[in-house]
Formats: sequence, C-alpha cells, structure tokens
Amino acid sequence: MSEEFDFDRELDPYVDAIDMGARPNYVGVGEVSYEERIVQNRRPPELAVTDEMIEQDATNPDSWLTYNKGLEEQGFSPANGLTTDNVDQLSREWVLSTDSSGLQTDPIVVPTDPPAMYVTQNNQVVQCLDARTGDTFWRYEYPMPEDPDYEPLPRDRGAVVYGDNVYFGTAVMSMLALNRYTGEPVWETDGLTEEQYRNYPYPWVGYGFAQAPLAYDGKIFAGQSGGDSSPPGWTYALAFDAESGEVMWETNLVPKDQWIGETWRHGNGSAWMTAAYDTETDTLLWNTGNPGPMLNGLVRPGPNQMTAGIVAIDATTGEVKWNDQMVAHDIWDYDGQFTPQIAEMEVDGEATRVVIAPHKTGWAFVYDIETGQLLTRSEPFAKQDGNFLGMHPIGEENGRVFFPGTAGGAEWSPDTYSPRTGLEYIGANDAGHKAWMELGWEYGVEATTGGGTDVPPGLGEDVFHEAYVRAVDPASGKVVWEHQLPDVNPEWGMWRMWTGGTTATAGGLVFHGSSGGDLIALDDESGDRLWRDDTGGRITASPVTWLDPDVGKQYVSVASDDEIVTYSADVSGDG
Amino acid sequence: MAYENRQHVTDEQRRDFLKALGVGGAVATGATLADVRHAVSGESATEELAPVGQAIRSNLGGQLDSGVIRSRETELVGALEALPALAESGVGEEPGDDFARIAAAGRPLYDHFAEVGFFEATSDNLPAFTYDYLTESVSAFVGSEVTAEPLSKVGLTEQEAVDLVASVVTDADQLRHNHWVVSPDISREDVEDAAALPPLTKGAMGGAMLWLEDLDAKLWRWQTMLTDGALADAEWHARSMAAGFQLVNEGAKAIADESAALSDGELGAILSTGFAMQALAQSLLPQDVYWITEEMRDERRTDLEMVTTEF
Repeated sequence: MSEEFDFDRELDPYVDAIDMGARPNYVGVGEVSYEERIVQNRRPPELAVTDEMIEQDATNPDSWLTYNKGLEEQGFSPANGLTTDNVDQLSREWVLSTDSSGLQTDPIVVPTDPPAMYVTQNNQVVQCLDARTGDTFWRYEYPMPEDPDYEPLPRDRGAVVYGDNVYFGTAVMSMLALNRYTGEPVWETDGLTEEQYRNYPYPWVGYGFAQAPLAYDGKIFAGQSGGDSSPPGWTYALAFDAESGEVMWETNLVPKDQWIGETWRHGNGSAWMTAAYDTETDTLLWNTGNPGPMLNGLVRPGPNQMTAGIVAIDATTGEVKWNDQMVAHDIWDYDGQFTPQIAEMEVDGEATRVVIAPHKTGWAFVYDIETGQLLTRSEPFAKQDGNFLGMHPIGEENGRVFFPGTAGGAEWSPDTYSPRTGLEYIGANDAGHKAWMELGWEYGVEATTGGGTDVPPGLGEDVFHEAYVRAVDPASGKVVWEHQLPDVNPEWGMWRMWTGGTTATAGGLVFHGSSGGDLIALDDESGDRLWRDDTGGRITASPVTWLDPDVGKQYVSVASDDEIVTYSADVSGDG
Repeated sequence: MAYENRQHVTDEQRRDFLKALGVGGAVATGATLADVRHAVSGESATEELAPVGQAIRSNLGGQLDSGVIRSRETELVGALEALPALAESGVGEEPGDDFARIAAAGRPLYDHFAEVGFFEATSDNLPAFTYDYLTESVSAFVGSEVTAEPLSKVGLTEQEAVDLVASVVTDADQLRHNHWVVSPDISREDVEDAAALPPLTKGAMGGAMLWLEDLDAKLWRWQTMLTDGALADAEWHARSMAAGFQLVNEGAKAIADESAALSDGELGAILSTGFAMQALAQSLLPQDVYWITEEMRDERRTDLEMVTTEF
C-alpha cells in the first residue's frame, strides 16, 4: 500500500490547493459561493470566552461551554432549578429543523442575554442560535470539496467556543475558526500531518474530525477520526494555536517502534472523541480507537500500542505521559469510544484525581491520572456473554453469538459523573451479534454492517436486545440501579438500538435521550422515571441543560435525528 | 535461577502429546525431556524436515553474522536468569523492566534477522503450522539431543521443558484459531493492506518481543485485577517466548557458522519448534493475562470512595 505521496501526479483541484510548506487554507476552494455559505440574520451578544469561564463552566449553572460541560467532561450541571419535584413541568420551548439527519451534536451555550447556542450538523453546517427561541443568528456551511472520489466522514459531534471564536473540525480533517458573532471564517488549518500526506493512500476517504474540539490555555485540541471504513492509515492528536491556527504539537497515536515492520501504517488508533483536561496535572485524557485492520489480528502481531484504550498527553508539549489498552490486540472492535470523566476519589485516605472511562466491553475503568495505574474496574454495566473475549470460531456454521457486539456495551455518547451522588450514569446496551471467521481470511459478522434494523436471524429466536441507563459507583464497582428504556424495540439490531448519553444535574436528575426517541428524566438516586417526552427522532448525543436567570427558566436541549429539540420550565420560584 | 516447578499442561494433554509422538504408555507421567527422547524415534521426522532446513540454509548462506547471534545469547540468558518468580514476589510498587530486558536482549538480533532477509527465508520455506506438521517438528526436535539442549539455557526444569514442547502439539489448534497461517497461504486480496503484512516468522518473533516490552507496565498498571495465577501465566508465556527465541537463535547460529552442528532436518525442527513457541505464547498471553474477564479477575478493592459535593 502506502506509496510515497506523488506530488507530480495530476491532483484533484481541491487537493491542488495544498501547500506542504504552509498549512493550507481551504476557505474559498469549494464551489459554494461565499454568499451562500454564510447567512447572517442577527448578531449574538458579545462576550469573550476566557480560560476562567471555561474553568468555571463545571460550576456555572448558566453555561455549557465545552462538549460534556467543563474541562473535566463530567456531563454534570449544577443547575438546580429543575428538581425531582418539578421536572414534570418541562415542555417544548422550540424545535430547530435542519437539513442534516442523524445529528450527533451536543449544543454549546454561552451565558449572555440572550444565551447564544452553537450547534453543528453532519453536513458541515454550524449554526449560532438564540438559545431562548431557536432563532438563527447566523448559519455557516463549510465548502466541501466536489471530488466524487472523496467521501468525507459524515459525522460531527459539536463545536467549542473560545475568545470571540467558535471552532469546529471538518469532515476533511481541517480545523476551522469562525468569528462567533458573524460566522465568518478567521482561519483554517489542515489537520493532516505532513507525514500522513506523504504516506496515506489517496484519497483519504473517511478521515476527518468528528469530535467537538476542546479549548483552553490558548489552544484548541482535537484528535483525528477514521479507520473502520477508511483506507489503511494511522492517526494523531493535535493542538492548534487558538489565535493563529498554527499547529503547536502533533502526537502520533501509533508509535512506529511498537509495531512490527510497516504495520503501523494501518494502525488507526484514533482519539476520536473529545478529551478531558485535568488542569492540576496539565493532562489531556483521550480515548484511542481500534487497531487496523479492525478484526484481523494476524496482520498486526503484538499488543498494537496505543490502540483500544486511553492515553494521557501533556497538554503543553503533546508528550505521552502514559497510556493503557483496555483491550490489547483488539480483534472485536472493542475500541476506546468514550469521552472520559475526571473526578476525585479517596485512595489510601487521600483525595486523588481519577479518570473514569465507560468502555465498549461493558466495564468502567478508573485510573489514577497522575500515575496511570488502574485503581479499579467496575462490574459489567452491560450484558457480557458468549466468551466475548475469545477468538472467533472458524466457519459460519460455528458462528457464535456474543455480547457486547461491536457496537459496544456503551457507545460514544458521552456519559455523566455526578459529584452530587458519586455515581457514573451510563447509557448501556445489552446487544450482541453473531460472528465467525473464514480461513479464507474474511470475517463473517452479522449485524455489524449496514445498520440493520432487526436482530439478525442468526442470533437465535430467544435473543433480544435491551437498552438501559445504569448507575455505577466507580469506587465499589457496583451497579447501583438500572432503568430499562421501554421505547427501544428488543427486535432492533444493535446498530439501530444503541442508546444515547446521559446528563446529571444538581437537581437530583439524570437526563437521557434514547434510540427510541424518548428524552427522559430519572431520579439520580433511584433510577425512577419522573418525566418523558417523545422527541420524534432517534437520539444518540447527550442532552445539555442550563439556567437562564434573566427569564427564570431552566432549559434542556438535545439533538434528535435532524432536529434540535429544546424544552424549558419556569423555575423562577425554585432553586 | 530455575523457574519453579509448576505444571503448565494437564496430565491429559501430556498423555495426548506422548501419544502423538507415538510413545504411548512407554513413558510415565512426569517424564523428562530425556525420557521422551529415549522413547521416541525422531529419525524419520528429521529426515522429513531436511528439505525445509536445507532450503532455509541455502537461502541464507553467508548472510547471518555469527558474532551478533552469539553476543545476544549471553544477554538473553542473563535476562532470563534475573527473571523473578512473579507469583511469589508479586508486582513491585514501581513498573519493572524484567520482561523488557529479555526483549532488549533480542532486539539487535531481530534487527539483524530483518536486515538479512532471515524472516522471508524462513517464512517462505516453513510449511503451514498444522497439527501434523508441528507434531512432526516436535518429534524431530525432542528426538535430537542437540536441538533440545538449548532449552536448558532458559531456566526450565526438565519437566517444564516437556510441558513447553507438549503445548506446541496440544495447543496447535490455537494457532489455527489465531490465524497463524504460513505467509504464502494468505490470500492477499482478502487482507487489507497486504503489502504491510509481516512474514509469519517476523510476526512470531517481533510480536513476542512487543508483548515482552509491554508486559512489565501492564502487570504494574493492572495489578489490582491480576491473580497469582495470572502472574504465573504471564511469567510462563514470557519464558516460552524466550525459549522460542533461544531455539531460533540456535538455528540461526548453525546457519551462520556454516557448520554441521545441526543437520538440515534438525535445523528445520529447531526453527519450526522455536517459531511455533513464540506464536503460541503470544496467542495465549493475552487470553490469560490481558483479556481478564469477571471470572478471571482478582477480588475488587473495597477501600475506595468517591469524593462527593453538596449542591
């Protein structure tokens, strides 16, 4: 594979714009005119987002400034206007319909009057909205290349605000800064490294930025995505200068010297979800994706460092501090799929910064951030069955059903840790698939491709899929309670049924959006359902919530298929 | 230091192994390698393997550096002698480097092998590692004193040496299930990025070294989950990798010396057995030490508590 990139061959006009000397700027390259790309209706209130605001995001009930709220990515809001007593007062405030299905974005909310909301769409649109009404301040559409050979990664999980800009990573692996008051491009930087340009097979189909970036200390952090259906490649985590877009560091997630020969070239290992940032140790905690090829381990002997796990990276230098593979030499697509949560745990009598990672295998791993040592691993929060960490049997006739299937006991949807209860709330999938391998070197896997909507017949008549919200005590490892999601059809295949993420609040609530379309509120101590509404579309992302003190309301917003559905309740007399 | 005397194959597996070698009940359970050697007739098996050894020797004539090989052997034996009995000593408070030192001893040799085309020569000429072929190879291996002798350098007791070679036969199917198919038999069109596919023997030796380089940190990082049994397995599989390494080293040395220290058949036997040990150990190590299920793990800590906040 991987020939040296031939700069003399005839290039697509889009790629022709690439200047290896200076990182390229794609703005203006696409065929969509500037006027069509930006629609400006109104200007949102100005408020430069500072490091101090980001540090206080986790304790500010009025904001949602980073992907899973706060640098610790706890997914927890201190908003306490909505409580177990009044959550049933929630009603729909507004709905934004988009031209992009399967939205995966977690909205960002800046606490101005009115609050400004930023959402991204899979079709590479960024919108700035009035968070009270859903009215569009401005809308920006990224100029995608017209090359039919270049199929971009059609996912986007969100943006981040910092200073006077909003940042989002594109499906063609560039990082883009937009003026967050006007939607006008400020800078764009190519996120493919020079070594990737020289070694990746062209076109680089399937590589892009899918995650919401993280912003702090003058930097924008993002990991590359790609791998499962991409041509062979390997990935980096990067830091960009927030002002200039200059790449400050790039960290290879597939260390060549820990792979055999040239196998690193298809190592993948992408840090494809948003990192958590521990300011006390200046450490970024990132997931790492599956090794490549995804299911055939023979062509990549060894543990396949640093894939299918977690990596701690020095935020200033990009140096790898430590990493751990939850599944070394992964052959089941049990990659690291999480945005981790940073919390405090008492270890040997001392308060210790820990990172909690609910993993696809159905276990939550808890590490000491400073040492990288595994402190504990929870009991299974999702169904495990069928020798799921065993080799695939040979021959279709011997195919085995095992749980979790490749969709995982938990998917990428960000989960939540509540410092109020000390519990991790996880969107959990009891879903499996049947797999085998052929000595002709092909894996046969039912329900891992194509997004089938039914449980495959091969799984057997008595096999059903169920989804839950499960509360796990990270310290004891115990599953404290579970709530089954009734709107998830047990006959759905695992790619249809896996459920969304969770959001806990100081009001004693856990919000969850499910694959069946329900947005629900649970009691954080018992798991009892207190409120639900059918949003009308599948939910894969996590809800966000904020207080708007100027109008005395608490809002809850979630992406549901092609809509942003937002609820509110008057809480002026509460909290 | 000799590795403590622990049984690593069951009595049934040992009987199956002896039966496969055609020695039946002639050798009692608990037999030593010498006992097996005296009972088995490896002569015909060695003759069968002669074309394999001859082809490899022919392909590599004059390319291997005897000095590099001999210097690594000393390092390897030293690293193995320093290996602690993990199940007894436990994992230290800081990450160790006991296993990484074994890999470090082998790395220059691996690089030398890669440089001179050793892996291509062996992969191209070794047949697929089927049960029948491995049985034949092991039969030839144990039937010759000169091929089996290097196992004494890696700190195995006589009985453990039997366990080790027995597992090559009794666990042969494990290789099949792990896709360990001889390189030329791999269907290129079905393998993504086939150009980067390492030769089988390179994968066996290189993969073993990568696991050894990873193991110290893993045991330290995951010690809260690892039982004494898992630690013992880690040590056993690591020692198996090293034993395989030592056998391949001996084969390479015989080629480099251009001596008759090993016949062509013995060369085929020692290389086949050595690479199979490496492949097998790296298939079993993750299953026993890395892929820890609920049933396999140590008891969960009970002294941890989340720090909560009142809102």
